[in-house]
This record gives sequence, C-alpha cells and structure tokens, in this order.
Amino acid sequence: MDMKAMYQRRSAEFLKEIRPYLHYALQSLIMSAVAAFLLFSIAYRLFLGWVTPAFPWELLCGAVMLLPLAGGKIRTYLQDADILFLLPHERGMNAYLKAAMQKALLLQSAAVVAAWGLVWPLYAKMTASGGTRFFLILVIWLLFKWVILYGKWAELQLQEAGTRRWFAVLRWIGTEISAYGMFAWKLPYGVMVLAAGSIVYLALLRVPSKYVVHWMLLIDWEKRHRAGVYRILNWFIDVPQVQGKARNTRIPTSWLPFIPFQASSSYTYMYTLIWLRSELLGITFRLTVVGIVILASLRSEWASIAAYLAIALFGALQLADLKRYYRVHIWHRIYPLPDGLLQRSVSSVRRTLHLAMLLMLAIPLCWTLRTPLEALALFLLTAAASWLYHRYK
Amino acid sequence: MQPILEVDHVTGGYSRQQPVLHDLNFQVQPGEMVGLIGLNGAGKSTTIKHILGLMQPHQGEIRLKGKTLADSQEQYRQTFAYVPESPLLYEELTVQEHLELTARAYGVDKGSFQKRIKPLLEQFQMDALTGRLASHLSKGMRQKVMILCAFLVEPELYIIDEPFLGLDPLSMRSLLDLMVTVKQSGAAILISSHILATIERYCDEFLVMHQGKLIVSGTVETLQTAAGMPSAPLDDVFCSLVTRGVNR
Repeated sequence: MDMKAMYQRRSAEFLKEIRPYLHYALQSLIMSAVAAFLLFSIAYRLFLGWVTPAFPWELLCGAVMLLPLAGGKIRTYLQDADILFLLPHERGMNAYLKAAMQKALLLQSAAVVAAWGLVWPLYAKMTASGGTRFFLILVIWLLFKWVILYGKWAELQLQEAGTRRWFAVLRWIGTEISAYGMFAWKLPYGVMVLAAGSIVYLALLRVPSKYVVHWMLLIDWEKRHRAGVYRILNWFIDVPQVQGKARNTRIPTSWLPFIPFQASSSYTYMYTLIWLRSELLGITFRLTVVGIVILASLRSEWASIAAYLAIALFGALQLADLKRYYRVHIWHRIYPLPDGLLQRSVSSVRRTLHLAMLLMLAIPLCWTLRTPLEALALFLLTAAASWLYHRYK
Repeated sequence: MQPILEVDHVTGGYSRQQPVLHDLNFQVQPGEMVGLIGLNGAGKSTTIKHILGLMQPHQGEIRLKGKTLADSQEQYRQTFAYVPESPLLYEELTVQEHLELTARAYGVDKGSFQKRIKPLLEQFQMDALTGRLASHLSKGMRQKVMILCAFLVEPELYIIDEPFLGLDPLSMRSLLDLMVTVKQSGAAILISSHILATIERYCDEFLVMHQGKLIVSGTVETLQTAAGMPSAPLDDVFCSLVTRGVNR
C-alpha cells in the first residue's frame, strides 16, 4: 500500500470537499482583507515612526512570534475506520505520517517567515540591524520551528493525558521565553538560551512512555481540526454540521438552576450543555482570558476600545457556530414544541454567553478608559450590537 | 370509543409519481397493542414516518385523538412517543440529560420526572450509567436510552420501530413487561418488528403490509383464517400471506 499517496489523496479530497465553501468565503473576504491590510500597513508605518526603544518592543515581538512558533496543526486526515484498516499496518505508517509532518512543517514555516517579515521592520529599527541578520535569525527561527513541531508530534504520542498537558504548557512557555530572549538579549545569548532550551526539551520528551502511533488521539484531533476549518468557513457561508468530539465534562445539575424545568426551556437546556461539552467552551474561555490580558496591558484609550470591539466581534463569530449543532435533527420534528423555539433558544444561549464575555472584558476597561462610565457606555453599546447580531444572524 | 390513531385511506411516499403506500386504512384503539409486520421495503417505516408527521400523505388523513398534524402540531405530537429503529442521540448529552431534555420537551414536571426515572433506569440496568455521554455508549445502551425516553413521557400512544435490535435478552424482557404495563394502563402501542414469535404473544392485532399495501389485518386467528392455516404460528402464517401476495 502506497501510504504517501494515500495521505496526498486524503489531503486533496479534503480540499475538494471544502472548495465550494472556500471559494465563497474568499469572495466575501477579499475586499475586507485588502482594506484591513491597507489600514494595518498605514497604522504600522505610523507606529514605526512613533516607537522608541523605551517601548516594550521585545515583548510585542515575542508575542507576535509565539503563535507561529509554538502553535499550528498537524493534519493527519486519519479516520475512525483506520483503526480497522490501517492499524494492522502501524509499522508501515512512517511514509503516511512523514507526509503529514512535511506538510505541517512547510505550512508552519511559511507562517514563521510571514511573522518574522512582519516583526523585522520593528526589530531592524530598534537594533539598527542589516539584511544579513534577517536571514541569520530566520534560519534560527526555522530550525526552532522544526524542533517545536517534532516536540508537538512526540507530545501527541504520549500515553498519559496529564503528561501531555504538561508538555504542551512547557512548549508554550519555553517558546515564549526563547522568542523573548532572542529580542531582549544580545543575539549570541539569545541563540544559546534557545539552543539549550531546545536540547533540554527534546531530552525531556524521551522520558515518558509513548505509543508508536496514538491512533485514538490523532483521530480525535483530526475531527477537531476539521470542525475548526468548518467553523471558520461558517462565518461566511452555511456549512454542513461537522462536530469535534464531545468533552466528557461532568456538569452537576445544580450548575444549571437558572434554566427552568419547563418545555419552553428545553432547547436552552440542550444548547447550554452542548456549549459546555463542545470545543466552543474552550474557545470562549481562551478568548476571554486572552482578551482580558490584552485589555489590561494596553494603555492607550483608542487602542483599548479597538481591541475590545475586535475581541467582541471575534467572540460573536465564534459563538454563532452554536447554531450549526443539530440544526436538522429528527427530534426537533417530534418534540411537541412550537416552531421557532429552537432558533430563539440558540440565539438566547449565544446572546447570554456573549453578554457574560463582554462584561468580563469590560472590567479592565474601567482602569484603561478615563472613567468607569466610559467603560459602561462601551459595554452597553456593544451589548446592544451583540443582541441584534445574535437575534438576526 | 374514539381511536387513538386513525390512518384513513392514506396514500403516500417520497414522490407523488411513485407512491410507496397505497390506500392504507386502519385504526389503533386505546389499550391495544398492534404489530406492524412486513418484509423489508414493505412500507412499515414509511407508514411510521407518515404517522410521526415527518412525511405528508398524498391522499387521505392521519388523526391522533381525532386531530391531524395541521389542526394542532403540538397537541398531535404530545399524543405519542417514538422509539426509532436506530438510536438518535445528542453526542454532547449524558443519559440523565437526555431523559431530562425529553421530560422538559413533553412538559413532564420535575417531581414526576424524578419519580419516574429511578425504576426505569433500574429496570434497564442503566442506573450506573446516567452520567455517561451518549458518544461513550454501546449500540444496545443507546437503544435503551431511546426506550427510557419514550416510556418516561407516559404518552397515550407508543410508536416503536424495531426495538429489539441490539438489546440483550434481559432488556428485551424488560421492554416487553413495560409494554404490557402501559397497555394495561390504557396506552396504545404500534410496534414494528421482524421478531414475529415474540410479538405474536404480546400483540392484540396485526397489520400485514406488503408492497405498500395492507394485505390483511386483525387478530392472529384472522390472519390464520386468511392464510388458510388454522393454529399455525405467526411466522408461517406471515410467510404464506406475503408469498401469496408476491404471486398475486
């Protein structure tokens, strides 16, 4: 069996599957993307004119490099049925998985190049560096990306879920420290810390027990990645329901006392549970925490308002995904519930969650904006827009 | 006595050009258990879909307690509970949450819900699995959740499609006992099954479908007379009836 060809075929099939939606999404996005790019270019140029070494540029550059270095997906396109058909060929899966790694490395390296290209003008100005250093550091970034990607793959094969979580935390923190060090310290020291950190990280990864291929986890992650792609496409066009795996989170009944035990609350109850057990809980939680950190660290009033609105918009888009769950299901046509209740309930759950998110994000604004009243006004305005969005979209 | 279910000269199917059901006409009375039997493709599931309101008849009418779906959608649906052939669950909900969702949807109050679930869960050996997600259940367990949801509601009509697939013998017995209990309390049951030897002992009447038509209906004795096989088991009677139907 030609495993590499199988991987390439699956990759092409997935692209073919999403192409109609992708086409529509790109059509919708292209004008906004061009406008956003122009606006960003102007803002970045102004920022470069204004910025001085007193500005914490090392932290900003480290933050920009963090996501492309530490993040990224490894698409394996593995499916449930592979446990039956490919598991017996586990030892011969090298070519298949190598193809998956090569694709991930290629795409993620491109993201690293793009991020470094973005950071470079700021770095060049702050350190008065020339073009040679651009390429030298780029090579270091790419080598580091390779280490991190290899580490992430090894993480996925770990047998213990707890150990896997610790290694994920280590990967993110280690990457942030290394990236920050490359900007904050003299280049040779930065490179030494990064190299030493990489060696220690790779050595540590050899310690815990691993599977040859952690089939169940890779299949779960593949489902999540597919669901993630469809979730983003859903911002632009209605896409089929593709759900990630439900999380086995224990939710005591006493946690949902605000949902009355009555027929009209049936779907509110159901969609609250779906939100709690789907990927949407993690997305909402991460977005809120990151948003609070960003808003608490900003000092400019306008920057805070812009960031608040951007995070609010992103949150609304993410929560809109809830309506895609069980949009068409036989029980909805059998339960003795009025027509329209389902849509109203999904909107209500989305709106309530978004409102809670907006409220939490508004807390740091009480200190960033001139008066807490301004923060309250911004919150109320955004809440009204949110109500309209979740009511009609 | 007003029938709980009236299927009145119904012709239906997916396409008007090629109807699957042809002039179906039957009734189910309260306290009656009726077996819907037929070969694969005879139209049993399509009949059930029409009764559930998932498909609209091309001709004729279906009434539950004298009301059509168009008269009052909510009242119509409130009359019955359905156990599908393949379990249809929400993957993000646990067993307990499925039961609670069903109770809410059918307007069962919290007190009645709590009173009803305990014996049901015990009867189907599901009491230790209430916190388990649907995605972590076996086919048989998923089927049990569907059965529990239907019996929790205590409707006037149970529509049960091939309920024994994937069930262990103990659960099959529990289901049959439960059907007898609800029947005795006045509820009607329309059950479709291929396990004729079992339903022969429990059903009051049978509807024999073949090629979308109701070829014979009535008690086992009526079917035996129609087949000219007095005192023969339902299995043999059924085979004779449908074979004759094919040759006709």
